[in-house]
Amino acid sequence: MELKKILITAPVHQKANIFIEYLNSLKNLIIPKGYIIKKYFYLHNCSDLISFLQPDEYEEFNDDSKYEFFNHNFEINNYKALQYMRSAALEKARKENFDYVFSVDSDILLHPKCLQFLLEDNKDIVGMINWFSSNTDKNIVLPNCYDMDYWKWWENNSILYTKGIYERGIISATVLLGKRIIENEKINYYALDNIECSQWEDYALSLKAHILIPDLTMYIDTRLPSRHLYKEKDYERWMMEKKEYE
Amino acid sequence: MKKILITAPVHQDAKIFKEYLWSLNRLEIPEGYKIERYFYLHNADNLKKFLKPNEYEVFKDNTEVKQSDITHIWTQENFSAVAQMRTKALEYARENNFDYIFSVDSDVILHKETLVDLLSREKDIISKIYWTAWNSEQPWIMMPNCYDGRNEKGQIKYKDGIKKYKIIGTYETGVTGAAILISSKIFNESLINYYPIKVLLTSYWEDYAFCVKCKCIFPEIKIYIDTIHPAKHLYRKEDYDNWIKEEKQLWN
Repeated sequence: MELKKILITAPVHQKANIFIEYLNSLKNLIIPKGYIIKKYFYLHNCSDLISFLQPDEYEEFNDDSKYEFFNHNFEINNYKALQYMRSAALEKARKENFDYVFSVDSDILLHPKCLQFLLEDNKDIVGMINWFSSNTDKNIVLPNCYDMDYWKWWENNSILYTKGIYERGIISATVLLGKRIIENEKINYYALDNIECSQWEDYALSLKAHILIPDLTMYIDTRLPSRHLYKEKDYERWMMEKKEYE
Repeated sequence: MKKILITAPVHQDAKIFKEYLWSLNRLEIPEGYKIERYFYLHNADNLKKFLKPNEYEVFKDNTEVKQSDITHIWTQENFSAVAQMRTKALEYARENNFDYIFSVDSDVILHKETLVDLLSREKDIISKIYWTAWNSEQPWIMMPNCYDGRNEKGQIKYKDGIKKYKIIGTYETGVTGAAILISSKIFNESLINYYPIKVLLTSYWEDYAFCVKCKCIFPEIKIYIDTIHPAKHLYRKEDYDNWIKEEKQLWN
């Protein structure tokens, strides 16, 4: 039987301690029978992470964009870089005939069975949920998915606390993309110039997928939430909890 | 001969519709082109008498557009009906091998050289400009029938303001409609339509949905607006009255 190929990928601009946790979580992933994975990262202005990877597991992308770490205030150059790196991953998957792209942001820690669950969901686009606190209001906890446009984000979220899979319009951070997405050459992460919010690259991909594949299936799986090391304190808390587990 | 389909969804006051047809009848048709007209009469049986039997079909539903003297109030049902009719026109043009669709809203009066202007620019999507005071209580705010895009709150945005559109020229824009010439390259793609996009709230504005889909499906194309010979928008009764009393004679 021919193995199905999954490309695990992310643009990476990350602190080394978090990247180590991230790679550990990927290493612990259970790969279901019949599948084979390949990891490939786009190191964005962070050559210091090369030492954690094999030579065939990365390429470097260096430009003059700057990140404000743990503040997540992005400038237009950051978005453009992300659009490029994520689109490059999709194109690589297309050219090298991958069956899936599993895009996992470099501050996400996955449950070991995450990939298995998402593959079983059998959708064009399916993400695993994570929750993070809003930049503007610490009391608001947000999921990595929403229905439409940015400002609808705050609605219809309570159902997501119940384990299941739910149809959603846009998903980010932990997303498994199927063959119909990979094979469509017009689907990418680049912005459309008549929609400002399409500079958010995940939004651009979702929008294009909805336009180009009218019967698209796009879901969020809430059964095995990922851990999002979004801010410094998230990392500290994770390290404390991890110690307790050990 | 290249074939152009002139079309519109029509729910209109009869006297405005007569002016509209007057303007279409005097349009100059460039050599090598022929036009056909096909209208979707939206709950507007009363307008049949102005058209030949092969120039229309009736589209009936339970919607109505409420018009006050200040502005027009649209419901989701209105938007949905208009999206359906405009999409039907795309399908009609595709099935009948037209080279262009010229979609002209039924309250827009065109300068007679409009079609000559637009065809000569050789664009896949290009509109003729007109200006509208959308709110009669603020008549000094005149806006063109185009914009660059919408922000995350769905608000209309102009990158460099609207002043440039007052100068004669052909300009790239992001979204336009109402007096728009569309080439067969666009409407022969069956994914192109006017229906809302699930993840874009304000795409119930059917022209917005259309332009976003065009940009997505044809990343290489640009959308233009042409500002020579502006059209006239008979948006409310006062516009019509002014048109009849004063402006029409200047157009003759």
